[in-house]
Amino acid sequence: MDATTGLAGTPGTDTPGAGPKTRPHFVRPAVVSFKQLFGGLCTGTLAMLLLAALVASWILCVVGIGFLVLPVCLRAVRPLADRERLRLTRWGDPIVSPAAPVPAPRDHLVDPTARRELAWSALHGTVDVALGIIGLALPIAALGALTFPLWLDLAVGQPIPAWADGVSWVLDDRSHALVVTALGCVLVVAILLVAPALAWLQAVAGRLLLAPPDQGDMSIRIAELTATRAAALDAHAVELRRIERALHDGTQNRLVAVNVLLGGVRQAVLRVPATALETIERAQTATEAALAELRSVARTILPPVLTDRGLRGRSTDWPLPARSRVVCRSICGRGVPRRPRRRPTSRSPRR
Amino acid sequence: MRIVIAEDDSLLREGLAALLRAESLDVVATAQDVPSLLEAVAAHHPDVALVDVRMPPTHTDEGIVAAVEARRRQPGLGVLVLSAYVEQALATDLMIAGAAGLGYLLKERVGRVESFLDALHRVADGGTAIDPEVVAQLLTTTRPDAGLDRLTPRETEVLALMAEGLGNSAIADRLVVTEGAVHKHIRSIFAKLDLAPTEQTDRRVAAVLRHLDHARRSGGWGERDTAR
Repeated sequence: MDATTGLAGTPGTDTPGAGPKTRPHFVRPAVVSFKQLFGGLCTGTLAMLLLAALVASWILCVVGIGFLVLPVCLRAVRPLADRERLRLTRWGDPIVSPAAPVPAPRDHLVDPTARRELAWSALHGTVDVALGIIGLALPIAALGALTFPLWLDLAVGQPIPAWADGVSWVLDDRSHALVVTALGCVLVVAILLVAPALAWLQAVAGRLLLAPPDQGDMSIRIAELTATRAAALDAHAVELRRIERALHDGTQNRLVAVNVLLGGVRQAVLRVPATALETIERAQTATEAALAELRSVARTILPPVLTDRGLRGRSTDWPLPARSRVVCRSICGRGVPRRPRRRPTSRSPRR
Repeated sequence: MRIVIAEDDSLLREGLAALLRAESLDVVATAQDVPSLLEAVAAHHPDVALVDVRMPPTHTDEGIVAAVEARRRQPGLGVLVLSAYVEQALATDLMIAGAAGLGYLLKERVGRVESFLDALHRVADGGTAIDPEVVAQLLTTTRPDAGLDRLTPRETEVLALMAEGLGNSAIADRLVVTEGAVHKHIRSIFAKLDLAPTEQTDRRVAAVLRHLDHARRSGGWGERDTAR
């Protein structure tokens, strides 16, 4: 295209970058469509494999083995659906992954989201794969037809394969090659017009079935988010107040006491130095108490074990509140990562 | 001097009592909350009550409420309120009905025993002791047209010490000048701030605090901007 404009226009008068703009506006959508069709074919193939596994394990349930395999296959549906959501998001309106966790295997037909995902994998593994194959085979066929004169000699006397132009006939004359090329040109134009429609058709199942069912009513989701965020902020404020109280009533009071005692020591040293020793002793005790308070406050702000080993490590190794006798057991859902234990060398020695 | 101490932290309570007893002051009772303070005041009729601001149950301003109530029951009782942090609004609440025999200090001032005892005596004698931090808060939050910008630096210093509750001789000592010079500064300050001149320290403190607090309250930032 750049070359054509370069030849047609006077050199130097052409504005730079004008070349790409002259490209017919239906070429780019077609290229995008082919990318979409290819991506869809990839996920479609995965969906087809998953579908086959699902059907096979379902059938195997008759013999019993299926009960073991089916949950595994069902668990693979959500990741694949999420992949497709990401892919569709890249090419159009965003589709968010459902917040609700994957239901238990036996609830898959009850849970609306899981049911829609299953329906999607059935369609995507069959219809969409077919659409993808058609969409990608058409340009190959067109390429074959356009370049037909180049490999004409190989084809003389042979029946032209049906995929080349959709018509099966025997080539008996060299002039027919031009007809094939002309058909190729028609095919190219048809493909450029049809490809976006094919891509749209291929994505329609995912767009309808993978979007959250209540996406239309965003206000509910917004209200929910607002409420949970407000609750998080409230919890944060309560926690700040607790820390402030702990610092003020604990540590600060101890330090004030130390200060008062030191004032007493000074007076005592001026008058009766012997009595100062007792006050110094008390001041020291108060300092130690302040340190202990400070440590416990710091611990409740962010327990070192939490950063070292994560929630799981904490729940098994320590009673949950640092000084409480109540031993808590926390049950972590999937997705709460266990912090890898640091090597002893990298761990700073803690008292 | 007979003293009652109200403080919920036992270590600090005992520390204060030991300090004051070592100074041969008479600590007649200690209390850890408001009701026991009021009981102790009723039983012992002390000269001064040392009161912590934050006490059970809510740990907010119990000390202020207790001080006001104790003074209602025993007029003339000196109350020195100790606080772990400075809140100028609390000081204003405390001195809403006059500053005589009232004090508001940061807890850590107790460590400087001489000046603490000085403040304690001042309160017991019907004077006033305001923490320099409170005065600083009052001075920095006033709006420009409060008249403070008309004061010379020296006069501002004198004003701050006056607001703390110091008498003329104490101010003169602090600034290393003669009492006559302090007199002159104070007259000039009262003239510049349009305050009625008075020689009585507590009335003087009350007037200065009221002036500063009024200037602070009526001058929001919005007003300050439009005033320019």
